[in-house]
Amino acid sequence: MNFIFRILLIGISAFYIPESLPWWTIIIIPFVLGVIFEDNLLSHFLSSFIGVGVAWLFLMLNFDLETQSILSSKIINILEVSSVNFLIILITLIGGVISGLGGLTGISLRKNFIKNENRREYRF
Amino acid sequence: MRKKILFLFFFILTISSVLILNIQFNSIPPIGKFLNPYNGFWKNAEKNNIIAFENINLTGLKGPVTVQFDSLLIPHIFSENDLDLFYTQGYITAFHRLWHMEFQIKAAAGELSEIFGKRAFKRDREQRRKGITYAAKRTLNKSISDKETFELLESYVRGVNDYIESLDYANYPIEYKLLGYKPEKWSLLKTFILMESMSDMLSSRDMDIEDTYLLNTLGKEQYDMLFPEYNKKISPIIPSGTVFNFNPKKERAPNNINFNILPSKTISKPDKDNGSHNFAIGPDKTRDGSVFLASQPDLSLNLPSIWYLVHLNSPSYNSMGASLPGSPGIIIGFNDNVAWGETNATRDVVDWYKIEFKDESRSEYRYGDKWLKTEKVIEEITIKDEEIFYDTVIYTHYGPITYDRNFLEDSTNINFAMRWIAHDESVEYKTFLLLMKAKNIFDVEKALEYFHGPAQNFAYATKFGDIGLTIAGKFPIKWEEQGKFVLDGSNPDHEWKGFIPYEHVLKVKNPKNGYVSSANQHPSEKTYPYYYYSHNYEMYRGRRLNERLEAIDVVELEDVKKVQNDNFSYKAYEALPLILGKLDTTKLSEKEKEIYSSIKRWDYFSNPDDSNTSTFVIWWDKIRKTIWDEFDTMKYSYRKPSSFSTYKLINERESFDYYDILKTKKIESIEDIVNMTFKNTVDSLENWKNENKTSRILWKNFKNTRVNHLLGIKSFSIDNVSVGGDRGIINAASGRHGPSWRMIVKLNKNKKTEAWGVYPGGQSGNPGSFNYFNGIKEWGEGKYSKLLFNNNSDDNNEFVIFNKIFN
Repeated sequence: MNFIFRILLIGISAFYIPESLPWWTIIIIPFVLGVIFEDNLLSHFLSSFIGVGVAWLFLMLNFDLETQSILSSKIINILEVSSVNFLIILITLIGGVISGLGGLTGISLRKNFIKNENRREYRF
Repeated sequence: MRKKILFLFFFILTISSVLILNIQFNSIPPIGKFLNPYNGFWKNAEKNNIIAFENINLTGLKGPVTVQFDSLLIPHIFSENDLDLFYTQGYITAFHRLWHMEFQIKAAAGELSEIFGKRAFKRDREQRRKGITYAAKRTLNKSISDKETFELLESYVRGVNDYIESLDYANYPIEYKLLGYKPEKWSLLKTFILMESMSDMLSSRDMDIEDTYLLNTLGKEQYDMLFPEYNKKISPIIPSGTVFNFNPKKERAPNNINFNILPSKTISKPDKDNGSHNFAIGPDKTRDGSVFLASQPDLSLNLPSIWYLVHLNSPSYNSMGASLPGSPGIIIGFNDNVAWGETNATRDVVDWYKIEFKDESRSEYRYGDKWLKTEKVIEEITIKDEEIFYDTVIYTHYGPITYDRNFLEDSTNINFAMRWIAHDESVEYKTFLLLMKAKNIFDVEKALEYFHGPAQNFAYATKFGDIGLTIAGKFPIKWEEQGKFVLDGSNPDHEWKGFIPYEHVLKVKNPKNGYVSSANQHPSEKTYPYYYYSHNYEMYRGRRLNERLEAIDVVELEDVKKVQNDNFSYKAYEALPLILGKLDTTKLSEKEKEIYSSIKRWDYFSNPDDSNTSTFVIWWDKIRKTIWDEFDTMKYSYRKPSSFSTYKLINERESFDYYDILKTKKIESIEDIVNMTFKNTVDSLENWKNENKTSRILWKNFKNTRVNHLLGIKSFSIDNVSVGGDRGIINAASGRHGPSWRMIVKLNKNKKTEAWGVYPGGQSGNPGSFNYFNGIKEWGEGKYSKLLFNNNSDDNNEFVIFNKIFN
């Protein structure tokens, strides 16, 4: 539940980041969630990655459809990328990875100040 | 401990990744910043032509202003006072063209190294040493004296700045994002630098140093034969036979001194094809007694286009036409009563003076029996990723010492100061503001008095049926051949002798033949009492234009369009029969015979699908190269006799020393050259066909007319536009150069003024706009759009795609 909840929160917030903020503010929510929620590193990386990745993918596909690739088709030429779809996937990966790193930083910070108190004991 | 290291590792990795994705590496834009979907390049893509208008917010108005855009995205601005009118022009122009506006100023002022680093340095340094900004500053100081114009200019600047202030990274033009820099504040100085940059483009081309060298090398007789000032075939702008009823004092030439020590290199020169044509046809020659004015400036074909169309309306103005982004008002346009258009009035207004310093400190130089003081200006050239470069430029009363040991980097004692008319203070903008509200031919002629340069042939027409042409500009009075070669700066007799008074400038009004025209050719016959000179008078377009205008009668709009799009090659018409006659047709191979029989039947029209033009162009080029191979051994090898001189010499001379090819033992004749180059031409054509995998060479493919983005970005540019014509042809579309705006205005006393126009490029300079490539196809096909022109915004309502009142 925790995992799905994190994806949704990260995804929705990433979708609505206003254009006046720098793009790297995408790391803030994954970082905060990392600090708050106990889970393993991989899980945090994935939730952050998927959240931002999906949000970015939707944003870009929407832009590109609306604008009929008017600009993206020219940009791929400058960046020497083979197709607009490939460019979108590439950017999605970049967003996902940066967001994932934010999540990892969060959870690894949490592990520093939350002592062993709840180390899996509750599972028994 | 492990946890701490892990945290630190992720922390540092995250921060450094973000930083790296935010940094520009050479030509690669900052990946994260540029590509992200919040404010990266995606925000520059427009889903339709209307969406961007939402960002327009005029905040600095005094009264209500209506802004409308028609389907071509031409703004129609209606205001209740003039300050608001120009404020809005500034704002809206920046809205469509901000990057373009700023970039051209940076290029002119020599500040491109800030953006591109070392690779722009050489060009920047030349621009600095030409004193562009120095000249603009002088004009700025002068402009304050004319309060009315000054206020309107300032208002324009405010408009541009209010637009810039409304921007954040998300809506910066795409070029800023790509190159990783920010728009700077606009200023009045930049607006004046723009006018200097026009002067630079149109009046700074000179050959004084090259010609001094040639004169020394060839001797006067040879030089005059190869580079004559006049010939019998010229068809001047001011009709032949015009009598000049004034007789100024003839300036006597002092004893000329020839200088043997010349700079090892000369600064870059503007394109020699920068030119234009214009004409006006009077009521007696037209079907319904209307008057036509046509204007077509031929410049580099760039995106965004050099021109921006605008319609300005206030109680004192109602004028429409092409403006230069960064400059208030309209440069080539019309109002209800008059229409005007310019072509470049080529004339030698750049001269070089050899300076003799008193000593090594270079703080004084000789002038007659006195020593005058120099002024040192330190130019600070900021270079991206490198240290600032400081260049000391020494100024004399003539102008900047462009060539000296700092620049040439050798030990020779060469100091050449540039005397350029563009360095003088002037008030050009006043001319355009007056033209915009001119009511009759007298108003037009009065407005032109304020125009100093770059000198232009203004053709104009009025609703009352008057037509006229004035060669407006500030022209120095010179003795015969003054300034054709390097002058002696220490001799006061070598100074310019004042300026030709306005009442003596070349002018024609309602001539008997019913039309006026110009196409960068000789301004007049030699009977004009003042000496004038240029190394670059056009010999082909002017003759063709005058012959066409002479031939047509009962003129209608379609005829005028036809003249502007005329593809007849006068050069081929003159030269081809001459060289074909020297070709030995008995010795041709099958392939050569085929080409020969095709070109023999050619009608000299360089239409897009014609296949003979390429044969002629290659052949003639090879002939010229072969004849003038002697020049390749010289210091400034790019100065060779013109195409027309070559034709004339071949026509007149059976034998001629230059026919010999230097690298062969044999002494060649002109027949040898013609036959040899024809064979080479056929080979070149075959090679071209093989390389391009085609069986037929079409002219449009061979010349490949391109409209390039100012940064040369391929996907922001268009290749291979289907268009006819070439340099030397009225439809002057060559590879990278051609008609940058075509305008036709029809004026009639009993009817509303109508106008048509087209230019290769959209109003929007945004490659993410559907309008960006607008007009290019139509331009190539010779199609025009009728311009929407009403005195009242309500009349526009059903034709506009955006309509909003700002308060």
